[in-house]
Amino acid sequence: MKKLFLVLIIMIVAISAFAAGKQEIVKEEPKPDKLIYITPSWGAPSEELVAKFEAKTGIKVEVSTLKGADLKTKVMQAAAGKVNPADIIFVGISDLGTFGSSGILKDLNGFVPDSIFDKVAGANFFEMDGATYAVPMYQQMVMIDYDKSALEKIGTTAASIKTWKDFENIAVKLKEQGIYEYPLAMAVRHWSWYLIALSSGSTLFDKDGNPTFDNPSDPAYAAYKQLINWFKMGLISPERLTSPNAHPSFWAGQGAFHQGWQGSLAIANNPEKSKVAPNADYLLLPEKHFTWSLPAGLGISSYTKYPKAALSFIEFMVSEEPQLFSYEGNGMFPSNKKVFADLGAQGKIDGWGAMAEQAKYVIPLPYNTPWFAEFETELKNSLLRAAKGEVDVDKAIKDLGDFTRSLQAEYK
Amino acid sequence: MIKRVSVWLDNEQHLAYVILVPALILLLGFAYYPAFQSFRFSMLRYNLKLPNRIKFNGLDNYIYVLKDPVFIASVLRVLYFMVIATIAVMVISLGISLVLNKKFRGRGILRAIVIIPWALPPVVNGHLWKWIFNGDYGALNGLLLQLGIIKDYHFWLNNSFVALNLAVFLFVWRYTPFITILFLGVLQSVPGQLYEAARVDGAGVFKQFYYITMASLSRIGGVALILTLIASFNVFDGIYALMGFSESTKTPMIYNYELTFEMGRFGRGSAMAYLVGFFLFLLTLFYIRMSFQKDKI
Repeated sequence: MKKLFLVLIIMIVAISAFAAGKQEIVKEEPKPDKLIYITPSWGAPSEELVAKFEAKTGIKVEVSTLKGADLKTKVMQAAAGKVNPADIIFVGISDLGTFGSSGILKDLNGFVPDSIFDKVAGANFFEMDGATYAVPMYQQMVMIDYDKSALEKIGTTAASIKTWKDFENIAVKLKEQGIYEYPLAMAVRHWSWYLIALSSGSTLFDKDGNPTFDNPSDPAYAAYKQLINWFKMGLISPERLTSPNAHPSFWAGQGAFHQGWQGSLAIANNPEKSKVAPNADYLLLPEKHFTWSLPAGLGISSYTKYPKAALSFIEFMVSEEPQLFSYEGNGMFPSNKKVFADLGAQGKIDGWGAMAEQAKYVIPLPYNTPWFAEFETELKNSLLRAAKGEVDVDKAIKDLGDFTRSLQAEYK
Repeated sequence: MIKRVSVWLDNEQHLAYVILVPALILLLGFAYYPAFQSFRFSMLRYNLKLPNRIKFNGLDNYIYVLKDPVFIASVLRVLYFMVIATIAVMVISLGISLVLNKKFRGRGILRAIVIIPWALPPVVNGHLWKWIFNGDYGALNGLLLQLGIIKDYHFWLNNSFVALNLAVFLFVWRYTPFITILFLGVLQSVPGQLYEAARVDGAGVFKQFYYITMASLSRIGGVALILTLIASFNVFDGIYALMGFSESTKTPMIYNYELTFEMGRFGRGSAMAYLVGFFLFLLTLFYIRMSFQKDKI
């Protein structure tokens, strides 16, 4: 009896100690030696900012800068192995569906205080199936910027561009007059198509997510044809098929129109970075004006041991100084509401008026679905095949529609 | 106890086992375990984006991959790649090694220069050539224009067939130095007296080349052939840096990477990896047999 009593006492003590230990783990997060933050170059803070964070919190941060594709691979590999790729993960909106559905990101609802979410704009972009996977780091409404001086040379202004046909006519004129060999610094890629399609009044998908773009009466159908036609007319450099990044060519003064973003004038009108400066301006998108947004945020790995420390870094990254650094260095428009309001009030945001007007016409694309990334991959290939003449444009659109439906069915 | 262990280790076979243990643990952990996991994945319906729907599906992934038109196209593409690349590497390497085997001024510098493409990392090679082939400002266009060979700048990588051949060129450029060094090593071990004796016996240049040079190179040539075939099948970094996931240069390796890590389809990706691995296994088997034959002689 005594022995049994002794065993029971030991068991109770052991269970209590274990439970207490457990509680302690939940309550007290160990202080990390360092945090790892993976990001593409444009999401990286300066060394001075990292040092400031360390001085303030005593936490070291290793910023690992990767190319976008490599970042995705690293995160996917970690998700498959259920290990931590980094404590803080840069989440571009294009990766949201993939990262969110793979379980690698921690749901920030209930973990990140409302005070942080209230401070930033666009947290809703990172919502997926009731969870929120990132704190917005920058906003990125897609816009068009252009070289005012080029239009002056042919005696016109941006105000004359009401339709995409007007846009095309000006581009043709610029080419014919030899002002630019390739007036459109745009790629034959998905984003260019979205831009034309959305502003022409298409939503690409209906409210249930079914494709509408392959209906010949949908403006997206004509937009697809128009983009391929611009390429065939020589308005877009053939080099854009293999090197789709058109930004450097615009900043090098090799194009009149450019698919930019909210904040891109900070670079285009910076004489140290752009030959177009100070003549770049935003163009309100023609026709129905609609566009979409490509924001990015900071997420916390589901497998990090230091979620609270990661959160403190995220809070730092959306504070004033890093937000200003990101805007001034990379043209990334601050997500911090106070920062962008102050910049606007001080007249420091180039094109503030046009930006505010364009912001009235933003519609969401289904980035928060698991199938959208694969749709975009096929879309890119589809546009390239059509541009190269390997497939008829009508067939390319029909094939894309069929592909999308079968893809969606797989994910239902 | 220590004495007993020491006595046990005095046996060479026992010592060999002990020495092998660390390597074996590493192999098990970093090669066989992932390979086993990958095999398990290949039998599952495993889409990383649908983590709650993972289930056993037998050989479905293998059947899917074998019927996948993108995979079939990538296999045909890499077969073309392997044939052209291997012929080019073997012929050019032979030519260069014959030249470098001769004594002339500056031979040492030339040998060092020849090895540079091999020394450069494949990704650097890919980016370097992407810049050279760039249609807007690439060096190739500049050179051809100055020589009067072209009148306008060409966008070399836009044409799928040209792009594939340029990818072959990139591989040949990088891999030729390695095979050249292999050939050169053998050529330098051929005694000069053999050629002298052949000349005395009345053998002409072609006969000397065929019966002495080629005969000397035949065995290493076989190994080099298999190595080049394996390398050209495996090529990834250079093409990826040059063309990304472009359909025109999508080899099974690149498609496998895209399917697995871009699309998150680990089940199908793993099945494809095993199919590709089986082909490589056959090639490797040839290589091992050749190596053993060489050792026997």
